[in-house]
Amino acid sequence: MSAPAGSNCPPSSRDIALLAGAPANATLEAASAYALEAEGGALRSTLLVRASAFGTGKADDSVVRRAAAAVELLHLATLVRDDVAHDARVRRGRPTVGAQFGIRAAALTATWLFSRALGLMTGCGDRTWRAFAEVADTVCAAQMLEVEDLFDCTRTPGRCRLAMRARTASLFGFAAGAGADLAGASAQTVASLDRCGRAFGMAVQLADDLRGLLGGDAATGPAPGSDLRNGVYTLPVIFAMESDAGLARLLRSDLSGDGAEEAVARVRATGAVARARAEMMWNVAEAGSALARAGGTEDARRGVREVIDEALSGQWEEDRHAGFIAAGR
Amino acid sequence: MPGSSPLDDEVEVVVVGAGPAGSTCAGALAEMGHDVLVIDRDVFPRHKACGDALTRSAVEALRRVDLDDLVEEGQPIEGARFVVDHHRRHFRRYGESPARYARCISRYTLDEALLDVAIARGARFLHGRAERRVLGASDAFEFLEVTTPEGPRRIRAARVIGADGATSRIRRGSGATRRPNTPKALAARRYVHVAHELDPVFEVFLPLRFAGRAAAGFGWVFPITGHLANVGVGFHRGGGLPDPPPLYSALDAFLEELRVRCGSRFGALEVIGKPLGSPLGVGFDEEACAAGLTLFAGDAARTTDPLSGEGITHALRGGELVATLAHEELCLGRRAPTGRAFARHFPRLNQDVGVLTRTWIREIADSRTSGERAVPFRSSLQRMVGLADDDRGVESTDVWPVVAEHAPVVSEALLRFDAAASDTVRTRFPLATAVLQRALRRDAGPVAAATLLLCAHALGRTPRDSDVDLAFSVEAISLSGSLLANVADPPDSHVGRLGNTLAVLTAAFATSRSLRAAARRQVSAASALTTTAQCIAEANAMELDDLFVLDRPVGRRLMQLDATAGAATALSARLGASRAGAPAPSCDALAEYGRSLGIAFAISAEVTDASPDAAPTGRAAQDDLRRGAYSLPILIALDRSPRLHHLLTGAGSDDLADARAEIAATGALDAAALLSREYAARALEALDRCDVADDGPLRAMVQLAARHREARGGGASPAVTR
Repeated sequence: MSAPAGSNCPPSSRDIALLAGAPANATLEAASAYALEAEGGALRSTLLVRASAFGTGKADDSVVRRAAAAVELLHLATLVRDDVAHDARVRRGRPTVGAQFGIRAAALTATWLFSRALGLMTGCGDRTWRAFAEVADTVCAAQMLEVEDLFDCTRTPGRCRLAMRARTASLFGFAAGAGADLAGASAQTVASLDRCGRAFGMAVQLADDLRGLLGGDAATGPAPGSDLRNGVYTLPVIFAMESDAGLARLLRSDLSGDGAEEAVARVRATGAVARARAEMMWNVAEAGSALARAGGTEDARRGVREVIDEALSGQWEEDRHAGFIAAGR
Repeated sequence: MPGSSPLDDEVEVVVVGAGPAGSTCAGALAEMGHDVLVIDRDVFPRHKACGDALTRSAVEALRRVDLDDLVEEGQPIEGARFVVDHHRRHFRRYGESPARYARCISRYTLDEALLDVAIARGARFLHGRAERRVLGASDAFEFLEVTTPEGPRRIRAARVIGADGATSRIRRGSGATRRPNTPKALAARRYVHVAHELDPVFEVFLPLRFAGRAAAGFGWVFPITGHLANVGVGFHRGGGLPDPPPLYSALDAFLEELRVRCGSRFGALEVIGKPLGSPLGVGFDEEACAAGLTLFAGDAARTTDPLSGEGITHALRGGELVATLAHEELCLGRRAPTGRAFARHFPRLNQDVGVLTRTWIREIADSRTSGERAVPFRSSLQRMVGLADDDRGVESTDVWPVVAEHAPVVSEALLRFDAAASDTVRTRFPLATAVLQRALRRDAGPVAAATLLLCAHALGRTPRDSDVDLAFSVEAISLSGSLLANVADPPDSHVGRLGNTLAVLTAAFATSRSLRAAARRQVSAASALTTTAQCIAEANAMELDDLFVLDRPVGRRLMQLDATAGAATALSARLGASRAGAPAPSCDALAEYGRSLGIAFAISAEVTDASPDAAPTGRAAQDDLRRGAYSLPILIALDRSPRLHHLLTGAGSDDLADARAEIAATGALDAAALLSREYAARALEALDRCDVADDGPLRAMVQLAARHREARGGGASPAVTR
């Protein structure tokens, strides 16, 4: 990001690595450095740093950066753990930690990142720490919930949203709220930002789910239908199963050949993709209105708004693209 | 007015259903002096749809009600044999002595015998069909309407035990609903005369196929006598599973499969009588085990094991449990948390097996295309079936008697710790609770938790709830490390992957629960916990670097034990001391005590595991040898024996068995035990340096740590009586 160094600039992956420190073991050091390199948009830490602009201006810059790094480390730990749990070999176009260093090393890396995340947060005040420990626990429980629902064609939208809220939205909400809280913002501002963060998190998760279903960009994104093959039935798929009774049967069959693409086409045909996208838009709107209620300066609000817009900008294009295809047909 | 209609009978406790759960419960309640009436719609004896299999735990329950004769007459079962695709087999022996065998006894005989026991103990029996009726408002009584051959009767009871099976009318009458998203299971059996003599084993056939499709379940052949077999099928349906085949057709298909594929082994198969089928009482829900003054037991409480479909063990033990709870309710007037009691005693119940059955199906579908992949599937299945053992409480661990004898106050706190831990780690995630609970019982038991509580106590502090919570936090951190040791690399099947998922997610869950609990109590302790968690991860990564390193120095292993087990108990001792308000030097000395104590315990556990007589179902040293994870005794032996180098690089399974014998022959076990005693001595030295009023319990812990324990299989051997 091109913003100048200062309170508006989130820690880079290099900064995070420095804050996390090096583990006292070569394998672990290499594996955690590798995991940190992969860090993508750094959405959560950016959100936390931007939210700190809502405060009274007395935010201790180093504390905010520590908290931002901790949030990012927790997210990374979740990703590495996810890759072990789902035995994924590739993430964002490059081998996962497990594929590169072995599954057991990946499992230990996840544990190490997780404990470092919580360790870093200890320097950010008791209240923040407590809230963070709760969020970390919620995220862990959500990962179990997700595995519980793998290959389950009776998964309901409610259960799916529960997992999304616990897994993604909770951490986004924490990031936005804690950023403002550390900067001494009022309780009402913190609550509004928490709400904004949660809605934003839901939108990000939905965008991610749509990529997992329809496929991402050719170079680094997932192949179309990859979620379906892995038994991950996300919201659009659940919507589609509600109106296409035969889809569940197709999903239970072998999807290794053309089956996955056929399934994706059938999901599209039900209009479920549009429905999921509408839910995503709704969440973006919700995030926007919570942001408007958060008070703060014009600049502070614009800072958070930019994060949201940038994160989901690709989706608007895809949306136009999808609309175009629908119109063409 | 319905309230004024005359009552024909008034009883203290009515038990509806005279199956294993009902009769056990009725007999126990009658023996405790209650007025008990058992009602069943059948006259006994009668036939029942069941596999007729009695696990060792069930056999123990029968012996507890003096049914030894019945047990002796039953068909002894030496083990379980898993047959995958008719050619890969795996046999799991229950033990060398017949005393440890399971049994097979037909329900026709068993249920009558159990009812006779209940009647002999003072319960009365009524033949009739009972329904729960709301007759006027009363919070002291339940009303039942019973249709008997002689006409209807109304009965008023202070407590009702619903033990009327998976299709319980009492449960339906109470409005208990089924949780959505739970798989339903069905089973059917048929008696078959078999021409050739049957092996005395429970034989389980996987996968169960029907019309070319795989169902999540298995077929079984259980011998009732040498030539009479109970042949059946059981499978899950619903919950997103493929459409199930019709029950009796599946049974016929399985019989046909046996005729075609096992014709030479069994000889001619001749069916006797009609097939019997029924739904299984799976889909346990902690919240729905009691309603008003009615408690449920057995299949009516849905306590059938969701994975194996085995229901009698939990019915018998659950019947005993519910009797105790009802007794407490009636005598002490306190409400019994029935569901929680079930969940605590039978941790496997409280789990959603949906994901497991779905994984089975995928695995089976895969093994159809590639025959080789079924092999890891089988071993993973073994591992999961091995988790079937029920929890026997913290009282079953080695730490318990020491604490109970020397510090009764602490033992009470340890019980609270155990209850809190069980509650905190409970999840619906498949087998996670069982995995965590087993980890809590591993080796000597919750050493870290006990150390914290004992240190606080030694400095004059009576353990409080906040101490108990902190004890859980330290224990959970120390066990999350050992959970990750179970990660398979690489995982070569869906079930293997599920095993990894289980290990990784439960380890993370233990850590996060630990930190959350600490954060609620004491943030400063939480920060020490994160540091310790980080150290343990680093030390375990060191172990990773050393896999298959035959010339690893012994000192490196000691350093690692120091950073894992040592660090956890050191933190425990320090936290215990600081909570009791000890001055810094005492805290330091006690931390030193804890560190040495933890290492001594860890070495003792490694000695036990490496012993040639270690229980085969335990955390076998053979596994460690195969994975290249060389424990202290193995490293010492490697130092002494060039032959062991050769055996370990050979890698055949015969070589590994030889290797274990070789390890013992080098005297490495004694040398390691000596090291353990050395650390114990260091712990005592540290203890001398601090000012502790009563250090008796702390010294007793040291003695326990240094004692070379006889092989006890890490708590995994299921036949130990409670």
